Amino acid sequence: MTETLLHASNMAIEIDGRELVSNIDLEVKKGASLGIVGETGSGKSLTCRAIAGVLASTGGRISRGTLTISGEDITVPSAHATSKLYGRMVSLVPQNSLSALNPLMRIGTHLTETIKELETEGGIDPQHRAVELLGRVGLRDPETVMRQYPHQLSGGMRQRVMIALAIAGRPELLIADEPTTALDVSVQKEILDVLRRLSDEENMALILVSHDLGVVTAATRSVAVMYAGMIVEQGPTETVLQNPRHPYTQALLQARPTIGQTGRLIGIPGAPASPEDWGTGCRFAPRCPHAQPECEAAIPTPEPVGNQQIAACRRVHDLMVTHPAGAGA
Amino acid sequence: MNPFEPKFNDVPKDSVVVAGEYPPMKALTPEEGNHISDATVPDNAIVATDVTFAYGSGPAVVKNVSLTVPAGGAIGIVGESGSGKTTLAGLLIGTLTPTTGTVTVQGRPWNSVRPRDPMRRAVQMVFQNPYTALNPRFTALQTVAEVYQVCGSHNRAEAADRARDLLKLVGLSGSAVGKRPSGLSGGQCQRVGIARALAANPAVIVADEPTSALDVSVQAQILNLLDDLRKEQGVALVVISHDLNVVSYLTKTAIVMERGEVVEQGDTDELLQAPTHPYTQALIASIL
Amino acid sequence: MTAEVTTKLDDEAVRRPLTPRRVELLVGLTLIAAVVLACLVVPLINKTDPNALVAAPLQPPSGAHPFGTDQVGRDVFIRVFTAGRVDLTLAALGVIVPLFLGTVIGTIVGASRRRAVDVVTMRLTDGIIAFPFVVLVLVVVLIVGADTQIPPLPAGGASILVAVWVVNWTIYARIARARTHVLREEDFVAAGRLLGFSRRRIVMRHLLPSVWPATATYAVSDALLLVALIAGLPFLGAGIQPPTPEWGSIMYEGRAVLTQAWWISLTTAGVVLVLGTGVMLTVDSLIANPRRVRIP
Repeated sequence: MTETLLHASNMAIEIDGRELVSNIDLEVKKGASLGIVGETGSGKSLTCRAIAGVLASTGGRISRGTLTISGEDITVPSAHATSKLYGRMVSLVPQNSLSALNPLMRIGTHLTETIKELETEGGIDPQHRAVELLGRVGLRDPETVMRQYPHQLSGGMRQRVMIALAIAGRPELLIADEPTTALDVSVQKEILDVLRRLSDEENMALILVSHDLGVVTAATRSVAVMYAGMIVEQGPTETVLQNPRHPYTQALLQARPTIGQTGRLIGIPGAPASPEDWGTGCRFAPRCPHAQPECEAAIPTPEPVGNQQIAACRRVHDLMVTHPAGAGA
Repeated sequence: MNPFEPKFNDVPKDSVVVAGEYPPMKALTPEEGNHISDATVPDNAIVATDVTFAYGSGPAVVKNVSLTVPAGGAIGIVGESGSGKTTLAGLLIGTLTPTTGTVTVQGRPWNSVRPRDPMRRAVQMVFQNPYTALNPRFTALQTVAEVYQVCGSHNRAEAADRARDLLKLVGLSGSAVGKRPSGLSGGQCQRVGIARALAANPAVIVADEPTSALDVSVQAQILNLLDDLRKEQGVALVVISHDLNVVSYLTKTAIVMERGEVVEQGDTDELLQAPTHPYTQALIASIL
Repeated sequence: MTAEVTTKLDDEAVRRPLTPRRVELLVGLTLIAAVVLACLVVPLINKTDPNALVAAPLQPPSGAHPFGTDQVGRDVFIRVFTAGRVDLTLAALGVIVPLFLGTVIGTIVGASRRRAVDVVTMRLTDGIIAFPFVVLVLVVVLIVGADTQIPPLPAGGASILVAVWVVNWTIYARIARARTHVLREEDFVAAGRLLGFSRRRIVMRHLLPSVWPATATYAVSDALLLVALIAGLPFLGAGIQPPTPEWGSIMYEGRAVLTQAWWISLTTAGVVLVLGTGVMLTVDSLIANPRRVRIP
């Protein structure tokens, strides 16, 4: 059985005493790829930070449940975990590549410094390895890029550099936080190709966090849909896309325009719920077209709905939606 | 157990904009500076003829672009960063002057329109970032009412009434109307921006990436709003977007720009489903 | 439920009422208020004439004279707070006029597209700022006349005010201009122009309201700098003429007897210190603008 790299069990995250993420159950095995999708207020970024070990910068902490990476319990941040895991076993490609790179430092220096920091055994020439890494992320002229400064590169190239930095420590789990935002459409596809290829070649697990369903669909084999701090649906990406069982996922897929669609777009009324609006029951209920009074009573537990798919909806078995989603009206 | 529940073809409850339910919109009357005179309603809202633009003595950012925005029609401008689409928007709106070529609005070239000329209001804009598009110190009501005060010379009370009606039309009512941008969601701010543009009773609204900063579920609402407004109010739309799906939904014709030039143009559906130019084909292939 | 949910953005956690910044602001304002109130109230309650000889000279602080007496036998306590009225009034007047003048001029210049306007104004302000401030003030003081008295200001006050007005507006103009340059690129200003709003309307209703916070914040610390300037003038022979009490002149006169009668200079300095600390805390809390980490 493949080794489990990441296991989050009933995890909750709070900031300043306010619980913003609840009941997270996630499992990522070696070589798998998981997408976490959500809109504003979904909690996907906080979850991403918790996994990547950078929750402290937001002032948050894991308040309930456990988070284990590679067998090591990291629910409470520890110096040991930080030095042993992050950068080596687990690595993060952060969101904003422009501000993540030192504008006064050449790309080559960024890489060699990171490599020197991470390589424990000697005998590896950092320059050589840096050029190799830049080649692996698909940069056409690695030697030239080594000498350049961040502002001289395009957005897509910078993102590739960020990925190169992240894989420098040969991680088994790579977390990419909104890797394609602010990039041109054609570049987005290329970056996702890079991530997918690296994941396949290295048997490296990949967690991709994005607000863009298309991004997640293109690059991951399983997906978790988040809304208002909770996972509302989980399962193999193909399955969730073809046969979404949670009303929110269904609505989300319906809300995207597609080329050639003739009917009217159906949006979700209102706006994504923010913490003040969370009631005691299902957090999507106020906007859900299928909501019944009992939906507001208690938070629905995740129900298995076949083929490793889980949906957290009280009425999921009542609602048999058989039409393929995302095909327009 | 119910075997069937209605699919999402129905309009869900509390839908924001439902055709046929608009309160009658009190548009500006001709006396109030409505630029559209009854005598001549031109067929074309904006016509750009062989327009080229370069900043100072630099290279041309827009090269030989010609396009027509028919009255009440919808045209899309597709391109990635560096394609010149934003510059083209500036030329269509009249804030930039072409180096060569002309841009006319309802028959009049932009350079004959002074800042205080009522024709200046014929083309309005909806911006990409819903928050910075609004004055952070004005409430939604104030932002829209100001247009009525200045463009329609209404007094405060009348302007406020009209603003309230218009905001309701675009889906904002109740306490939200009295809030500043910081207290509103992205979708709500975008509605205020659209209302502000509409209050000037324009012939054309140029929407620059109107939904790319919004959540998916909210995008659909705003797209529907723009589409409905065009059909109900007769405002032409120019939609600038990198998102081909958005352009497909909102527009009848489209142009594709690459490095300042138009590489393909025509009927939107045809263009997107059977592109002929390799760049267009590549763009479509990149859709995730 | 209505379609428009009025919601806050993102995952922004609810702001707690008592952040360190808030505490800093409250403490700062309290200190300022304490000094200002004392200057208002003490002379009302304590009817001692600040210029009268009430006791033996050089008496240390006691129950009857909390700050002791000075070389000629005047009560230092009442002198300090009467002086406070003078200093604070001058500081307030000296700041408010340049604040308004400078902000308005700076905003108009910043909003103007005509290069000539910008160049001329900026060279003028550059010239004034480049000149050593104190020298400029002294020159104006000498021209206006160190002794001129325009009631109700004390002798010497008018010249100081005029000097400060002539010089200080430039700094506000610079701040306003810089801020306006940033603001005028914002989308909502572009929208205003598209709607045909007059230049006047854009400046008055869309630019100025967002420029005030920048200049007003500076004004608070400027007031303190002004107090320091006024207090320093007697050391240069200018400034408020005796016998009107003024913080600077009290401290100046107290220097001669510092070893025997520390209370004259140091109690005055203490009051100024409290005021200064209050201003510093207030300004710090207003300027530092850390946005909460926005989690998308």
